[in-house]
Amino acid sequence: MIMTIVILLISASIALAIIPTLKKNKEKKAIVIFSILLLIGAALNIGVSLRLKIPSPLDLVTFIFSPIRDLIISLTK
Amino acid sequence: MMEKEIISSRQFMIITLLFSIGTAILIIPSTVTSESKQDAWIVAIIGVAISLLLVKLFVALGNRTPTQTFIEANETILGRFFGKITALGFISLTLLSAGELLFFIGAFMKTEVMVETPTMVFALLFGIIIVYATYLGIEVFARSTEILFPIFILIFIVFVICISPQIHIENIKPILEASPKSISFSMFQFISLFSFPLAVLLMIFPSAVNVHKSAQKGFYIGSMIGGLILIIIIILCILVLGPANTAARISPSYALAQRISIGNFVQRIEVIMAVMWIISIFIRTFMYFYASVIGIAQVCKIKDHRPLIFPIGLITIGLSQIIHPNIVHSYTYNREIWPLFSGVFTVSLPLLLLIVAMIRKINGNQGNTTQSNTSSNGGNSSQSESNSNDENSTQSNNSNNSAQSDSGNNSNNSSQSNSSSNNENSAQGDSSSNSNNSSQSDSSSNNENSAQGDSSSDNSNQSDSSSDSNNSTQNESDTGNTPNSDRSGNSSDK
Repeated sequence: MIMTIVILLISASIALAIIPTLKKNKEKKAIVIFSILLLIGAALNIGVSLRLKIPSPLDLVTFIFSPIRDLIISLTK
Repeated sequence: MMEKEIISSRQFMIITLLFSIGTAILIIPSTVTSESKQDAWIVAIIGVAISLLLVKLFVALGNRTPTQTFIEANETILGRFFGKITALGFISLTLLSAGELLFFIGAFMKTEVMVETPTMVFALLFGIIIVYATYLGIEVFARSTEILFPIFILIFIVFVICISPQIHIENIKPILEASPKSISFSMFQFISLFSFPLAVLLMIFPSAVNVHKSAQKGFYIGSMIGGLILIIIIILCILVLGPANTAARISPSYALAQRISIGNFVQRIEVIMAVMWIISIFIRTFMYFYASVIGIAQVCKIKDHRPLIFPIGLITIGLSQIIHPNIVHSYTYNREIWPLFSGVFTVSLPLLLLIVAMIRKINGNQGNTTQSNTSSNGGNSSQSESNSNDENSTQSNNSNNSAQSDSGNNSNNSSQSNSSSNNENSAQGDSSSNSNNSSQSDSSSNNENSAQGDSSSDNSNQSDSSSDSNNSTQNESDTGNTPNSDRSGNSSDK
């Protein structure tokens, strides 16, 4: 629980430090991308700190590439 | 708008060298010996030789788009839509790999050095360093590698000397026992860990390096010396630990360092040796992370990548905790999926880009064509020119500058490598503008002399005198880079 608050505080301070300068330069697209990435990062870290079971993104990669792997294995045998 | 960051070709060579060693120094001995047993060193030698072909592919692609990073090259060559898709695939590879390496350093420290510390601590500390280095930029990072490189080489030499009394030559016998199938399989493993990731260097190779010709040489030399160091590590692992023992361990190099015993008095110095791979893993993680940050910024067309560093850093640190539930997952992934996954984006994609660029006749001089000769002198060409001036400071500066202001703009409009044609200008003066205008073969004619042999050279238009003077100046500027590498190559031979 404490870790969640710490992560939120860190994310908020990063946002407070960077968004005003982006606003001043009128980079709307950068603000949007920055906010999306920061939200993903904060959510991911909160999930880790709460010990939720987040599936590894590599499982998706494994799922995509395992047919090719099986094909190669069957060819070499 | 931020200014463009430029690194020298020597710095690029050092980055290539340490990047290619990367995590491979820890895990490659066990992956290679598990299949081909005591013949792993033969596999490694063939693997390094094949890797040079891959480097040739990357260099050829880099020459097609000399002012762009790999991500921008995707969009230029494949068009906006397909380029974005392939670029996103490449970024997913680098981002996941950055998280994976943070996991890896955490797992290594937890299993071998500090058993009771949670992996999050290592990932966080390492992640903060990576984020800080990315915030300071590639120039600062390149200078830091120049400091880290002698430390690395020194530790490596001490490592080799200290472990050599424990060599048992019978461990390597019988030679050539492995079947061709297992040799080719483990060779694929070796290349996938050692040279597939070199494609990430395309993010800095043509666009952020000041002298293209010597940087090409640095690409070859760096990966060759990196491969040599890996070969030595593999041979030492087999000779000291034996093939079965090597294959059974997750980090055999660390077990190798544990065996060091000088007169039964100096023992357990493996953590000092571990500095070696902490340096190389730092450089590899940085490059993956930097490639992800720059890549995301360029895909989204954001001018300044710095605001994105912190969010992506948060994501990477979070990824390091979920990417592998345990070390077995990591081991299976590295063995079975990583060669395919990385092969798609680091070998097939550059190959595809190169073929499409050949068909579309993209030769690296687009974008500069519309500018008039006089106006392009200042803005367009200034970055590489000023840097090559620094490099060639041994030459007379006066003639260099005057020649540049006269004809430097021509060379920039027409030739592939701005800085090498600069050298030519400084030697030749005004008359060189003709040969510069003629073709982009300035750089490729150089290439013949530098022993890499780029096959795409057509130097029919060039006069003999120009290519001669070109060689001489080029060699002069190269001498600054080569002695270092030669020395390290010799010393690691011992």
